[in-house]
Amino acid sequence: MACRFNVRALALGLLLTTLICSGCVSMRFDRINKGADVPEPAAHLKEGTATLAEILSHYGAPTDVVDMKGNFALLYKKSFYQGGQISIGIPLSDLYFRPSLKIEATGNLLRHDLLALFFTPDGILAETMYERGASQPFWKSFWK
Amino acid sequence: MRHFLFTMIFLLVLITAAGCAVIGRGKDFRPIEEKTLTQVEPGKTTAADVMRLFGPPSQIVKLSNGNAYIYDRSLSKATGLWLVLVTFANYDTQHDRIVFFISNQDLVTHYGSSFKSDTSSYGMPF
Repeated sequence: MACRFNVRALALGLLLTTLICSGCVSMRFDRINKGADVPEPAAHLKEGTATLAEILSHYGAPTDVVDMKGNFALLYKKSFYQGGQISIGIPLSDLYFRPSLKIEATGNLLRHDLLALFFTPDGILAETMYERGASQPFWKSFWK
Repeated sequence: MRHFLFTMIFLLVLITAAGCAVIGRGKDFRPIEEKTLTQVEPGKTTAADVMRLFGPPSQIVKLSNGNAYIYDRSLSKATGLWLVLVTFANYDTQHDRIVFFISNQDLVTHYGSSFKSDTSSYGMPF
């Protein structure tokens, strides 16, 4: 008999807690992906020999073209955003109390994959730089 | 007792699952088509031809030995799920892009293209 009462009380308590907290606790998770995957530098496209035509044929159109006063660069970029928010608030002002309680924590992390290809004025690949940021772990990168 | 528990569970599920789902689609349109690129021939096609085929570029970058004409369009897909306590939102934007390198003599020397907007997708952030 006591057991039956406890189960009912627990169920009612859970329902009431959910009802009360539904207006006070909220969580939000966001993800924004912009751009296609950036390929790794191709081994056969070597600095000093690879031409602009070969690069464009292999990687396609870049995200940006940058003039470097003689030299120029092609940038291939992908952005990857992850964000989260948890909010706990008790709107006491609705109950004719002046102060209200609200605790909120937010965090977001924007990571990039980037391939930068630097060219001489005559279109020969001079330097390649590559960074793979989107594959970095979320928590470790966030707290670094 | 069983009826009571069933009612409680039903109410709990109803409360926590109440919400809405939204999908959205946004397009930054420009009339650039992959098949039109077959009409472009490096060394022969002029800057004027490029603009006749694709319209004015989205961006022009001045280079020491000419210009780069950049054509860009994008497709974004958004997915949102609002539950009572939790909200999930996901946005994916992919681009179609063509870059023409134009010499000082106004001739196309090189071009590169990427058509990825079709890969834009709906989804959840996990």
